[in-house]
Amino acid sequence: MILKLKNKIPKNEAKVREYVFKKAVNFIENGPYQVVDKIIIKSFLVPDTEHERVDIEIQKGIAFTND
Amino acid sequence: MKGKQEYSKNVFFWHNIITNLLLPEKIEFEDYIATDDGFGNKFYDGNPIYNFKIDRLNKGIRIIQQEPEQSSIHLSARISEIELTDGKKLDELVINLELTIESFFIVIDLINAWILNDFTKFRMKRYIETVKHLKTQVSDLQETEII
Repeated sequence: MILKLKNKIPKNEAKVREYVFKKAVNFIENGPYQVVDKIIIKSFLVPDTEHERVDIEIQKGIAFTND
Repeated sequence: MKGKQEYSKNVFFWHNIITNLLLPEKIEFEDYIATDDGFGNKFYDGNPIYNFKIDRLNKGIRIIQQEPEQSSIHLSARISEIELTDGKKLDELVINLELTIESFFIVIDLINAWILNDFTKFRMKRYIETVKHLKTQVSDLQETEII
């Protein structure tokens, strides 16, 4: 899923986010996650930048299971 | 965050600050982002370290506390819109910070503008830019030893 997203954005944008893509993958691999009554959000900001980031939002259900 | 104890201390720190800011103004708030994986395992990651929303204003604040070694930029802020579990949209002020005395007081100022003064999204975006600009100016003055 993350790889698909990474391939969708311009190469230079993906390169800037390389480090935080890894963090996002790490978060996904530590799943599953279940939304009970509050959303789950993780924002991974590229170090030394103000806005370049990768966000993961889970609004409903169970996400990132191995099934 | 380095350990559960440090995480808890930081959560308590922010809860105390937000409570002291909002309760005298009779502003009720509650959290809207889960701090665990939904199966009882807490994240302990500071992402976010604290979050709260005010239903009356349809606004929220998400404070993400970075690990200290990560960045030379100690504070950044942005306005965003997110969808909650009930499908409602919420305007949120997202703050990324490394906790220092300086960043702490800037956060207080941003919360003041966004919540207590109820700035619009447009005005808040402009204000964030102004604060950023002033911060750079002050940093330059420090380098030239004027202050």
